[in-house]
Amino acid sequence: MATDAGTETKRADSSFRITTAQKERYARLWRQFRHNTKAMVGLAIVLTLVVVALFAPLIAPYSVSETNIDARSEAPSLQHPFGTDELGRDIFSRVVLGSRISLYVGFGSIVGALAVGTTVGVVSGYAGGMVDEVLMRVMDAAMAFPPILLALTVMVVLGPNLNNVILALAFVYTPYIARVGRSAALSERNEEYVESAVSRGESDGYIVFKEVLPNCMAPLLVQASINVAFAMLAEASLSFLGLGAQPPKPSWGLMINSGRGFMQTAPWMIIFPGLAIAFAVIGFNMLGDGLRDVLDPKVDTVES
Amino acid sequence: MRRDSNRSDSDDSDSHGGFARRQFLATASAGTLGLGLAGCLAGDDTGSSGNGSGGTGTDSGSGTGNESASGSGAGGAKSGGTLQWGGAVPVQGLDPHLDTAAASKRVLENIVEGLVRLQPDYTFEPLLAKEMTTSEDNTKLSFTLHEGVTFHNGEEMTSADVKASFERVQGNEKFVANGFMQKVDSMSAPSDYEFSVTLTEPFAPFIAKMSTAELAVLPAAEAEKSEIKEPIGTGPYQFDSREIESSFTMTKFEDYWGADSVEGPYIDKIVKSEITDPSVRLQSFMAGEYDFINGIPPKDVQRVQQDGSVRFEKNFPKSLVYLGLNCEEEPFSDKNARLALDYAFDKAEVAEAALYGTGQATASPATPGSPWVNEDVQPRPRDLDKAQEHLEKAGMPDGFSVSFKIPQSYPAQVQAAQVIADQASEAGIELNIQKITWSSWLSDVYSKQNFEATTSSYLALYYPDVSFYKFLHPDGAFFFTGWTNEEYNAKVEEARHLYDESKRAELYKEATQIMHDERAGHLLLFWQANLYGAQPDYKGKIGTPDGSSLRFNDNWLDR
Repeated sequence: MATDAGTETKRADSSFRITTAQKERYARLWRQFRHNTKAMVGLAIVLTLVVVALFAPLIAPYSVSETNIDARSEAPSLQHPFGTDELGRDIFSRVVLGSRISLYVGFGSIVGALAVGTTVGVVSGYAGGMVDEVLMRVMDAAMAFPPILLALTVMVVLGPNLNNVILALAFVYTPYIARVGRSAALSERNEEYVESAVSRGESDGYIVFKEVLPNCMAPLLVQASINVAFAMLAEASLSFLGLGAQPPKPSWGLMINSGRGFMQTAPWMIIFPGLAIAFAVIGFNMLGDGLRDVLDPKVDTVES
Repeated sequence: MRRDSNRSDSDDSDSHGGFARRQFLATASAGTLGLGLAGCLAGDDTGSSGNGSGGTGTDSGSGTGNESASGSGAGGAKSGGTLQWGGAVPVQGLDPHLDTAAASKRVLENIVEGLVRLQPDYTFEPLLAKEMTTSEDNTKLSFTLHEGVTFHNGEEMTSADVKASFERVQGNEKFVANGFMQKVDSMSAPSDYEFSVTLTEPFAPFIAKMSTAELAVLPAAEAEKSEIKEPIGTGPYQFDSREIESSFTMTKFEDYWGADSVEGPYIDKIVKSEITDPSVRLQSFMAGEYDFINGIPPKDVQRVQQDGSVRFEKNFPKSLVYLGLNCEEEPFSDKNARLALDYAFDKAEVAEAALYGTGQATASPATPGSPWVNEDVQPRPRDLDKAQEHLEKAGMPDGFSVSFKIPQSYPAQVQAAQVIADQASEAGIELNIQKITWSSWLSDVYSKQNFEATTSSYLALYYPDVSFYKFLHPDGAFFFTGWTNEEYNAKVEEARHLYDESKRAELYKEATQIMHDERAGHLLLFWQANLYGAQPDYKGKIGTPDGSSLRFNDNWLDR
């Protein structure tokens, strides 16, 4: 939020009381957000996903693992709106329940990446010097590998299961978060409020986490929401490759993998999970873009 | 990769089956023909299983859409051409004595040959040997070799080569047939074309072993090598080149010794492209890119059959898929836990889920239609009450939860596993599927026995010693589930030394009953077929009696 008005708002109140100035600022941001179509559409999609995931067991008409060989590979019908898969399971139910896996991994890995990445980035940016050099070179090294390859390697070492996917993806996305956190912290550390904190004799730890960090949140949030989309894609990819969710879990990637052989005879087996992935990824991407428009006027992509 | 194909390599293939009394009689001068092995083993008369011609027993019902073999008749056979083969599983090692992968054997058995060979009726016929005789007590096997047999390097094959080849296997435990060679007391090569083996005791499976690449005849100089990378043999095709995991090429051997007596070889060059993805393979084949593919996914069989423009061939049975339980660790060390699982799922439904009607559920490891099948032993029906009863006896009334390691390259097993896990969960048994690679199956499950439940498959079980000894007897070469039963062991050991078919069959039937009652660590699931597709201008029989490998010598291209 290191934007325009009132430098005083930049100074995070140590007690986190919301001042009038802050209230006004939030109200203004929300107004901008509401008028940003991209952001609103993204938010709507993400909220839909969250609601579906929360109430998935109520929405899904069938069990996700119950097989029925007599009804295998059936085309979409009223009874099975998305058709059935090669073992007669209801694809609609599986896609609905699959949203939980996707969101669980998407959010889980980004929370992990945020926790580590933000700390590393902000400390690095604030401290500078050798600390900065060492931390950032380590991050650069990790970034030198293509994300999916790095995730694959980690998965091979950890063994395939969903929690390991979260670990692997948290590991992969940490450097991206750290870079953003660092550059934000770099510009923040020369601000007057930091100077004043230093002159008050606050400890480094206090300044980094209570003063600098809150002011770096805007770019971090933008980065995180976009990375959630990447993480969901990565989960689908890993599951597709057999290194993520294990059958009979209804991971979208896994569903596409097992439906791949039926592309010609039962295309609905990959179309619906594929659409679900696309829907979720577009949602988070639009939300991320919208947030950036609102929070970071420098790259304003909307009006004028 | 498809199940079958793959599995094939999974299964370490082995064994070949029965000996043919009558073939031997035909050639063997010896009266005794103690080789009775022959008669006995032979699943022959039943002949049920598919023999090459693609026809084959389809118990499974799905019609085999093949009119058997579009005439392989020497009559119209044309020479020349290049066969483009879309292969399901990449060729692995190329040392005939060392490699167990079915994918390797599929090419190797065209390159190297043994003293005897398996016939469509599961009997054995001399191949490199002109004739074979046995002593009264069945322990000495004497062979008279064909003259004028040349290796691909131009040298003539003599008994010294045979002896060197066998000694190679005898001399090092790493060779697959080493255990069999331990039954050999002495070998001699009195003249260039005479060779004899003296066994320490009558041992029925020995001849079957000689028909496989594992006891193939190599040039004496090659037999000195610790590992062979470029195989040299006497077969109709010679090794040309290969790119690992990509392609394998063999070419016609112009001086093939058998060319006078048998058909072919006709095709100049056989190029196997390794196309492990079954959908891609089938697509490319349907588009005309390949003349021949193996490993058609069962789910696509109907589509291929309905497409009148290609040949569909089925070789049944190829292999047996089983659910392996680790009997040395909780919970499956308890027989009741194994029985509970056995009662928890419907085998016919599992077979249908995996094979789309191209296979058959079973409770016996003996090849369907062979004399060794105990018809009284049938798969246990699904019965959740009984499952619960056994869970209580095992002291786990609430069920249990175990890992279930499935080799991911076999879609049939992955599908079967999901149905099994689904049904078992209703009985309170949670099987947590973990897809693993084939190499980790070999290292973790097989070598380290680090598993609770798993699935895999075995090939070429028409020879009963493989079905009953190899993976169910503690001294068997593929024993890994830890299930032991003295009574069972005694029966299958005795059967190895018997040459009389009916007595052997009796023992194997009793053994089947024991393994079923005691719920051996191998919970048998189903037999599956090898499914091939060929372009209409590719003529000749496809497939061999063992259900897995291929022989190209009498195949030809009509173009």
